[in-house]
Amino acid sequence: MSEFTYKFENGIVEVTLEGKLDAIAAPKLADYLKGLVGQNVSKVVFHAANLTFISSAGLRVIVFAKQKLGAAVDVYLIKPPQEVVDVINMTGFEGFLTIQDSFQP
Amino acid sequence: MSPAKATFPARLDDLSDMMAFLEKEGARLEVPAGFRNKLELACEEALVNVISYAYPEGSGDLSLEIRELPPHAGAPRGIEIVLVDSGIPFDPLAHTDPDMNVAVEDRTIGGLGIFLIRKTMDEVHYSRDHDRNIFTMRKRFGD
Repeated sequence: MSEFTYKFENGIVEVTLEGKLDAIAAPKLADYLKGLVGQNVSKVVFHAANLTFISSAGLRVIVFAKQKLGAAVDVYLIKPPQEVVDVINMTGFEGFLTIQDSFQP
Repeated sequence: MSPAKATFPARLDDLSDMMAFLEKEGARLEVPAGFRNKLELACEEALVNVISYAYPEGSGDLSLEIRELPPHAGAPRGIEIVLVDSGIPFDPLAHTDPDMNVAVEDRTIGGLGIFLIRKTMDEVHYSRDHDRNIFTMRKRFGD
């Protein structure tokens, strides 16, 4: 079971992803982000060094951050493994994510 | 090598068991390391499709078959995965691919799963036979 940790401070959401962001894990993350609608989020940072797998259900949640929290929200993916980057590149989502080795706003 | 077959209740609670079955059988059929992640992706997308749409009014089963494709006519060996359910007629391939040129904020997200299946597998096929949906994915390990 994937357990994620969350932090929300000064408009910046930080989520540490672990294991799989799949159809089983994605709804919990979606619920957390839904709770932040209307709370002036400026950046969403997904720490992904320990993420091993992402499917379309997981990608949907990441896109949700942009679609529902506001188009001006910057979405960061920190140190994702190559397998995850490959999936993101297949979908063309890399254009709206900032991928970094460590979070630098 | 002989094909492997297993049947599960078509629900999200059983997705982990389905994926574990496919992973174990994939290892037995010596799926190359470089393709395992893509296979996992395609399988999750296909399974979630059935779980989400096959039985809107109740519950039902999802049967999985995984088998080796021997080398054929110059094509390298590969793998075939077949999903069978007895739910309502549902052809996931009838959905059009998402428009990847639309800005993310405006993009509708439906069809992304099937798009990823098409990207990762060589062949995908849907048929309706005797009140069953049959979804077949094939990949040869050539590249």
